[in-house]
Amino acid sequence: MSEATASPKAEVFGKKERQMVKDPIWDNNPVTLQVLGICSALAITTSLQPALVMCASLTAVLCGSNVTISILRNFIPNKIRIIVMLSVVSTLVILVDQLLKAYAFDMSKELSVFVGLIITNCIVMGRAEAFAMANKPWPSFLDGLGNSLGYSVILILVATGRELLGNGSLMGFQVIPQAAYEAGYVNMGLMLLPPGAFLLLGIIIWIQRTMSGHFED
Amino acid sequence: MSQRKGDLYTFGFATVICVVCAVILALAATALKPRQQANVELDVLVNILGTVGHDVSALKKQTADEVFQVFQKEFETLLLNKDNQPVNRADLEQALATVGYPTEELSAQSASALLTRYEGKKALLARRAGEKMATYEKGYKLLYKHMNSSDEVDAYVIPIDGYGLWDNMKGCLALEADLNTVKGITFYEHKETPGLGARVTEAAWQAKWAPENAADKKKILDENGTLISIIVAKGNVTDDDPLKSHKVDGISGATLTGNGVNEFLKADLERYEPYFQTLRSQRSGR
Repeated sequence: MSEATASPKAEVFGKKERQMVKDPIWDNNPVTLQVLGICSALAITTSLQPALVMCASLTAVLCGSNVTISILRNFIPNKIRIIVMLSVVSTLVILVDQLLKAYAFDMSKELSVFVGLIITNCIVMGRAEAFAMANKPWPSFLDGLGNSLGYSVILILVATGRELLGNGSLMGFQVIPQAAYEAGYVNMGLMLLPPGAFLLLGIIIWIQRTMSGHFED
Repeated sequence: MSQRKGDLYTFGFATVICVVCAVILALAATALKPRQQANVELDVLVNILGTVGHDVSALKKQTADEVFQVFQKEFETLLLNKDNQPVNRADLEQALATVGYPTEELSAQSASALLTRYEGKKALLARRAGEKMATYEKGYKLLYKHMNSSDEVDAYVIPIDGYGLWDNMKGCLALEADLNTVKGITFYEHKETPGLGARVTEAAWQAKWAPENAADKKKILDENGTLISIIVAKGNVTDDDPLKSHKVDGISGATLTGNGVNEFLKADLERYEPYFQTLRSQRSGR
């Protein structure tokens, strides 16, 4: 994470740029490897639809904040950089929240405080401080995109598991046939409660680390 | 970033950031406000319709105009003043103008929105005068009459609101034509804890207010006709509870939300009770 990532001859979408988007999706996933942004990953994943809206909101905020911070990076006084980042992030989050209230009212009611809580999502501040402060706007945008995709992948996996096992539906549509219930199948209520999210997230981290061979010292 | 910049620069930069962010947010809030308000008003109508047995998820798929037409067709809105006399809209608009609202803005709004503004302003004035939120006297009240196909009232819906645990909660309570049996309840605006107090919006909990079985129905009056209101119990209501027909199972982890609901529901019902008594005697006299 240094100036080298944005060397003058950087291509618009070369191998390095593709790597920047791909890397946080799997090898350096912000949720499963850096264990950031867990709060919302647990809170809004009881069904798939709010999880998707949350992913879209986070993507908009993260890309927007990374680009803005990156443009301002040479002007931001070092002493107050964190509070400046926070102002930029909160402005973007409130904008997203207002837009949801105007154009996706039911969704904004369902997500309630969790849209506002994107402000405190460690991924957003983390990427602004660790990447956007030291890189040009385009790489920062790609970094933001990659990290939000990484977050989204995990959210969608957890939400799919929870809605399918807990409610037998996906996106609100019944998937598990009535016949299965008549044969004695029961929805797993635990999945809709917070422990269900912890269990699923734990299993996902376990599978991912087994596959990638990541090891904590 | 490495070059040292003076304190003056830091202050200047902070000021610029603040002003720019504030301007962006103010513009967005102003531009989106009409749409957001329309959404809120539609949501209130959907909730009122929900308390008398409409399928809320089906209503949400309809356009605002369609929902409004259903509401217009089935409901009659009645505005009552402090002395329980029916008043018309113009009186409320007049009252709003006297507390300082521009009259030209008022005509385009629903009675419920007008009342919200009037109560908001009154509450603000009361708070400035040092009164407690719960004790100031509310001036007007709204009553929605649900008409069945033969043009008889088959349910009454009243707006309910008050403090939960964290903030003001708003909802509606529907009573059967006897003005005693609960027909349904709904909450559409609240800031209770997600997963705990926020479960007041869950259909499964709201269904406990209006059980299918006629013997289990919840009543707001006791046998002598005295107002008891409905109490959200702490934990589950047992079968041998003497107040069984006035109690609803509480939500675990949300006792304080339940206490808040108990308090404001009773206060709201008490405000309507004098008018309800007249309606009940008219009904029994018929």
